[in-house]
Amino acid sequence: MRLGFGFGLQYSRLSGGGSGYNANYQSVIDYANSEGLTLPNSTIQNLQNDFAISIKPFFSKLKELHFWSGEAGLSGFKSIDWARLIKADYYNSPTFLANGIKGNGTSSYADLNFDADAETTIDSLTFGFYAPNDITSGVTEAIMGGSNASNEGLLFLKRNNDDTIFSVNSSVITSFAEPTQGLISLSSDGTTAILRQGTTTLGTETISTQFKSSESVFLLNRNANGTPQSSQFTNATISISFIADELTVTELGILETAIETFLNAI
Amino acid sequence: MEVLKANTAQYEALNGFTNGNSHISFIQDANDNWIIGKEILTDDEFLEIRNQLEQLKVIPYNPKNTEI
Repeated sequence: MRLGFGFGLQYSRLSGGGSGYNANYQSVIDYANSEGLTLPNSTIQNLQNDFAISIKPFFSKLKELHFWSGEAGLSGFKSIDWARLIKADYYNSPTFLANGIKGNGTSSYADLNFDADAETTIDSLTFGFYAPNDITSGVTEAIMGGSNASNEGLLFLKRNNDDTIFSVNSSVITSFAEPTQGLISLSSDGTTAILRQGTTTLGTETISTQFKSSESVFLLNRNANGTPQSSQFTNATISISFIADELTVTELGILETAIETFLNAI
Repeated sequence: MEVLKANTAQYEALNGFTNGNSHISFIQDANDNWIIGKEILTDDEFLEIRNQLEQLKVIPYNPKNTEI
């Protein structure tokens, strides 16, 4: 029995990799080591490796992926974008909990250093985040977004007046049902925007333009032409954030299951 | 909710402080005060300037209303 268990574990850790972990996750570990960042403990590493294995079929679609959950603290390791192997910047001390990065609702946020203008391959996209708690309570304004002076960009807002607003360039969308928690995403192919919670569609709307922004994307606030907006912070907790070439419903389901499996295990 | 307010001299001294990828960047409230959340007082990334941060005045949070 012990031999069988050990063989299975070894196979799991080697699948897709060859140097111990899944190749994508190993790259994250290698980058962290090259930057002198403290690594998560081995239990978290193994769980994150399992996550990486789960999303391996569509990892190449990801343009940005931050894994904000794990051990409390470890802000350095959590700053790593798994897709681009660069670090996010933190402003005004967001809190790093085991289940995600948390804003204070007044001034703290993360700059994902993601400029869509530099991502020339994005003709369609899905962006979103995993919220482990109900985002309809507490101070929840802008959760993720960036736009230039012409309001071109992407945006997720949940205002206190209960308007849920998404924006893809100048197309501001308010007709969706209200998402509450879990994997919340907006997909756009340049003509249609689809809001989902997990794999459930909350609404669709015709839009006129594709994703474009000359400003970096912020998390826990929005970037409006280079300036965070004082009324649009959130104190929500976010477990992962991502921007990708458009993900299928199946892929969103895999992503949701993978992060929930992780969160349930820690 | 309470936040910390910087006067002009404090703003000029502290705004833009950076330690690694952690930054201080004050936000303007509805009265154009430069404000920041109290979490910076316990952030070890800002230990070097904690004495200065502890001099900031505590005021109620009054956000500036903005539209997209």
